[in-house]
Amino acid sequence: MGTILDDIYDVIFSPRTALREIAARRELLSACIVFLLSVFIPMWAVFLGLQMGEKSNSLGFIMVFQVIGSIAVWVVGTAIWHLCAELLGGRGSAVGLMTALGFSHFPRIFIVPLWVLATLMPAGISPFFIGISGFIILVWTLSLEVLAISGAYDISRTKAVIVFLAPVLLVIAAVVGLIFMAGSALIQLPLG
Amino acid sequence: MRKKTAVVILAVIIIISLTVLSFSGVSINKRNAESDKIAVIYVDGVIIGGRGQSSLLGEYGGTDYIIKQLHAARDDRSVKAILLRINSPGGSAPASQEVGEEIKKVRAAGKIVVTSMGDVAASGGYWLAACSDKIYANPSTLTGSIGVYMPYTNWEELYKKIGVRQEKIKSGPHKDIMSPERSMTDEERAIIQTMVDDMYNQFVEIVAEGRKMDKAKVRQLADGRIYTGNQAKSLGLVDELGNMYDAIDGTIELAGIKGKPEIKEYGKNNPWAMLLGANDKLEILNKLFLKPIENELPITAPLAIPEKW
Repeated sequence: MGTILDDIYDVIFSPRTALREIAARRELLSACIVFLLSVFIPMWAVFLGLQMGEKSNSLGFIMVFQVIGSIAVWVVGTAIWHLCAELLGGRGSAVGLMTALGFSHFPRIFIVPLWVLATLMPAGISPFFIGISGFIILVWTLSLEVLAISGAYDISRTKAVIVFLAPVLLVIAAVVGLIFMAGSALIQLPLG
Repeated sequence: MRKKTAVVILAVIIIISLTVLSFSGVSINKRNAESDKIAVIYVDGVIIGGRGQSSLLGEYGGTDYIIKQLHAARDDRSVKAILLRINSPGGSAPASQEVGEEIKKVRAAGKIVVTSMGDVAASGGYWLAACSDKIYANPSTLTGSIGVYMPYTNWEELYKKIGVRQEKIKSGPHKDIMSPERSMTDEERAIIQTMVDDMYNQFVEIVAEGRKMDKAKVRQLADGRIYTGNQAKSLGLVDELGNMYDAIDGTIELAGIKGKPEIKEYGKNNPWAMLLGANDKLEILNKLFLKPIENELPITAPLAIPEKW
């Protein structure tokens, strides 16, 4: 338990070194605990904040989507980023990456106190405050994910950014390719 | 030790924040919700009982959906009044009746209910309007059609020509009443007429009660004919002439809302609903392209439906 608390502190204040060490230790159980807390606690807070004012049919759907999506991104993302990192010359283990990525989601938990602060602000300011703080937390989490890749495979931060963006770039390339193929196929169709 | 203390302090802050959110009832939406609202509930198309279409994100059509919206507006403390926007030729008597009764209950719970009639608010559509506090109609809106009919088609001659003869084993003499392959007997016709008369009397009572009119006067107007909004106003079936925005202004006045209220529309289609709510792609295309072009709304719909109308 003591190790988890130390790791959390280090992830917040000295993330580069902390995530490298976490990836090397491969303590997946600790990563699971931190990841699940980082997903469920903010989600619960957002749910409590939203449900009291206005009941929305889609709120439950969004919550379930958020949980499944986060777990899927963690597990599937680990697999894809591991492949990309190895292809770019990185040397490390998928379990190590998964452990480091689990800790990199921790900043999400800061949404809870920020949400409470937002409720205390004037009605006109609070949505902007939530939006800006949410964006900052998103950027923070993404930066930690890049550092997790960098630490797990001992590669430079530039290479880690390329690994991080590689799946998205591949999807965009595939979509563009499909559009071109579909366009070519349509041109071949006889008119009338 | 310093690290652990810092993380424990962070954990305490998060636990306190969660407790505040759980028990104080403070939320961003709640504070926004404190301003007075007028709920707009749309009643479109033929009024049919039941659930309508269900999808992952909600329900569409059917009286159950309208009633759910009425309940949501009733339970929302910030909603001071409800505007029913009716564009319906009517529907089945039980469906109109159950929505009408819910409108009365919402009024009894202290919410003002005002009706704004669109192109058509006839028959069952008028039934709902009669249950509200005030009715607005455009001068050329088609309304009225206070009455009941049960459609029945007799295919007997056609069946004889094509050689179809249906055999039935019945549990009682009237079990196949209104069957299309034979004429009705005089006794059966009398049974159906009694039912239609009963439903008609219920409709007359609703109009008399809602419009504070004498039943005899209502019967005089309720011969089934349709009226324009202008005619309906002069006959006392409608309170004011005006469009939806005039009705909103009237609702603000009636509910005693000070300042500009927020208009909260119920049952609006969102992009997710468009993608996931329709049964199939053709339905989406139909909604997107065909509905605005063709006007398939009948002038009036029967108030009693013995089979799929």
